[in-house]
Amino acid sequence: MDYINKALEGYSGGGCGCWGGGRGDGVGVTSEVEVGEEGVEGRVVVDEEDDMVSTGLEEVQNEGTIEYRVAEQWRRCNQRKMHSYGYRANALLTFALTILAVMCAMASLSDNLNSPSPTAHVQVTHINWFQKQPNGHDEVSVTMNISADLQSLFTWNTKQVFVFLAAEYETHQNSVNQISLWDGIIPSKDHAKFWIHTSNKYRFIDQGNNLRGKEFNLTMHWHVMPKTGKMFADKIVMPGYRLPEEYR
Amino acid sequence: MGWVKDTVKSIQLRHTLTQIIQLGLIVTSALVIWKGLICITGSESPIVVVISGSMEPGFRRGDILFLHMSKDPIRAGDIVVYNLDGRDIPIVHRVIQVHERQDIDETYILTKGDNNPMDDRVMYNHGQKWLQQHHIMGRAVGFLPYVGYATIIMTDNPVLKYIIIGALGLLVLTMND
Repeated sequence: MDYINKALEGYSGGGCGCWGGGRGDGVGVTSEVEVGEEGVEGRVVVDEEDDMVSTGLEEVQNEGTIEYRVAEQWRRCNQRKMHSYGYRANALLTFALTILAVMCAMASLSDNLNSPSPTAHVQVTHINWFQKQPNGHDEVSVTMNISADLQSLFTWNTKQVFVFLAAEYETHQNSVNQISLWDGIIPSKDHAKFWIHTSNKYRFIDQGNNLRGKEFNLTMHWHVMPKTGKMFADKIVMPGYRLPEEYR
Repeated sequence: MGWVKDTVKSIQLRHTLTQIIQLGLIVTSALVIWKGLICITGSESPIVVVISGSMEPGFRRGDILFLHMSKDPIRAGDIVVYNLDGRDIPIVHRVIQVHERQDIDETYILTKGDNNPMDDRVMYNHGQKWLQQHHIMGRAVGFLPYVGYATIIMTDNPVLKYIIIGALGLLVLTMND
């Protein structure tokens, strides 16, 4: 009796790491002890090392109860699962990715707490030229003063703000015309308050010849690109601009 | 003793069956998620990987974008994914011009990459001046950095792709759970 218990203790204490939990496993231990009480060649167990304990016991069992063998099979199976490096790495990776995903989601959600109040002002200082292209489309070139303060758009999750100025107007042919005249990428808060004097970066061409005397809005649009998560966009509409009646 | 062996054998058989079923579950659940996303977002490819640097520094190679195809009309400033007729690879660029017709239900769109000096007319098919509604696959609504980089590496080295798929398959089959 005792020597088997000792053997089991020594075994589970000093055995290889992956068997560390073996002692607490009720099914295995009790059936092993029962075998010992029958006193059939029990001593083999003590002299053997490691794996031989259980195999020795299996030999010892005369008929070998089926419960024991099945339980043993499951026990080994489960223990291999619980403690293998693959299993641990998998659990660690899953946990790390979950934490990362939660942090990304929280960073994106935190953007909703920011209520920005940007300002923009645009002045058309000069019509450089205004003509009808050979293909019949009106084209105009303008010079503008653009000033804006977009600092309040920046949060800790902001990678950049894309800002552009679009001319927007309605014609009898088109219900919506939007033509981007100028754009810029603002990489940080330090650059978010700016003033520039520029002519239109992209060509201001109508899809037709409807620009003479046309009233139009200049709209400052911005797209906030986050470090991760949802993108935000908004605009300021500045109405009341008008193109000249005649080509020049 | 024979029936003991049979029991042990049937346990092993069940084990193998469980593994096959689990493998099937992984594959089918991935398919369900993908198809579900298509239904929810209304976009035929709800997640795309950025493969060019034409939208830098906003989007870099390897970032993934979530697309949405809402009823809202496309407007200037939107980042859209479009597919030109006869081309395989969709392009992610920003809309810089929109002309929406009064009489017919059609919108003419011009795009440009933030990092490109010129608009996209040079990339469009010969004689094509505008994108129309049917070219648009979706509008980018959100993004995650770096996540798609693995697919870029695999597209660049197809051999690596087969090695990884093979290794993963082997791992799933030999793993004990």
